[in-house]
This record gives sequence, structure tokens and C-alpha cells, in this order.
Amino acid sequence: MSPLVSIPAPLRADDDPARVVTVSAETVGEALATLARQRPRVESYLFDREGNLRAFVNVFVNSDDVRALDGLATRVSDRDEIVIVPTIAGG
Amino acid sequence: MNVSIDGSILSVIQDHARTTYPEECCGALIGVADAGRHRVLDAIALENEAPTGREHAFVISAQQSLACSRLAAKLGLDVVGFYHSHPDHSPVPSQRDRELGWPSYCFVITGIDRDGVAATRAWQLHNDGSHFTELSLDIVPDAP
Repeated sequence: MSPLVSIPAPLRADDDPARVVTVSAETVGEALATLARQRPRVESYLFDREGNLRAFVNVFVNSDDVRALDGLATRVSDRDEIVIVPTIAGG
Repeated sequence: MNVSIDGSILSVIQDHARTTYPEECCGALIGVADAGRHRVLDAIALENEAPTGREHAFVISAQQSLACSRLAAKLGLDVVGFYHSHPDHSPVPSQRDRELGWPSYCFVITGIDRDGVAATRAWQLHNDGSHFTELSLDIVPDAP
């Protein structure tokens, strides 16, 4: 499968500012792992040391939060768009 | 590194801070980010979804963040940062801002007091999350 991945500005590589890329993946986890290999900044932003999504990182497949689906094991198809967005908080 | 913003957009942000006082306001900044320079072209007011203590906390949910991302993409722009207010405190990032912020975004903070006097400064979290660096906030005069 070749879903689209929409990359937020902080995760783009300085030499590759593409907002949307196509990756080869069967699941959300595979798509993000591929993205992390291509863009070293991605891994530390998205995952904790155990490989889980960080609490303030959200991944949607189209309009569905993957935490409400099968998490990183959520399957994707050619027509899907994976969107990474932060929850922003502070005080 | 700097943030440039139209005076009229800055006024919208400061008015938002006055409206929600004594609670914190929050919103997204839409524009262009390039090589450490952030050009803010619009400010989207959002709901502070902190469940309690909104006098000293704000939360922008994933759903609001997704909607802003989609809006920016539709305009061919990016979410380049976020703004919030510090009621009765200076516009300097708090410990909570540092713990929960994302590097690379610009964070525009408005200190607001009970008389409605506002001061706004811009910051960026270091890549390792250890500290904020202040950004030059360049206010672009509105066209006559």
C-alpha cells in the first residue's frame, strides 16, 4: 500500500520540505517507521524509548485518531492520508 | 531567528487575551516557516480545553490541531506556531510550557493584567526541550 503522510512543519527535513509524502506501508506503524528512517528528527519527536507514540503526538488516518482504532497496527490503504498533529498544552 | 506578524493580527491575539481574562486564551498561528524565520499570516482563536485551572493552563486538543492543520494545508500554508496568554504574569514561558511544548514551532505569549495592558513576546523551544530561546518579534505595520 502507498498511503500519503502529511508531515507537520517541525518534522520536515531542512533539505526536504515536502508537506506530504507517499510511503510504502501496510500499517500506520510501518509508515511512521519509514518516515523516521528518511527523517532522523521524526523518531525522537514521535516515539518514546519503548517505541510507543508520545502522549502529545496524535496520528490520524483521515479523520480517525489511531488510538481509537488499532494504534500503530491500524491498517492503511492507498486512499488513506496519515496526518501527524500535536496536542499543544502549557500554562 | 524571528517572527514577523502584522499589527492587526497581533491586536487580535491581544484582544483574545483580554476577552478570556482571567483565564488563558490560546490559538494557532498560520503562515510560512523557513530557515528559522516565521511569517505569521493569520491567527486562529481556539478553545482552551484544559479541564480545570484555565487561569494558569491551556490545552489545544488533537481535534483542534487537526482542523488547523487542514485549514493551513488548504491555504497552501503551515501551522507555524501557537499562541496563549499568561493572565497576571509575564510573557515568559513557564515550566509547563517547556515540558509540553514542541520544538521548531514559535510560541507567542501575551502577558495580560486586570487593566487589559498586554505585552507580547515570541519564543522557540530548543530541540532537546531543555529551554526556550526568545525570537525577535517583528511587527509589520498595517497597510494604510
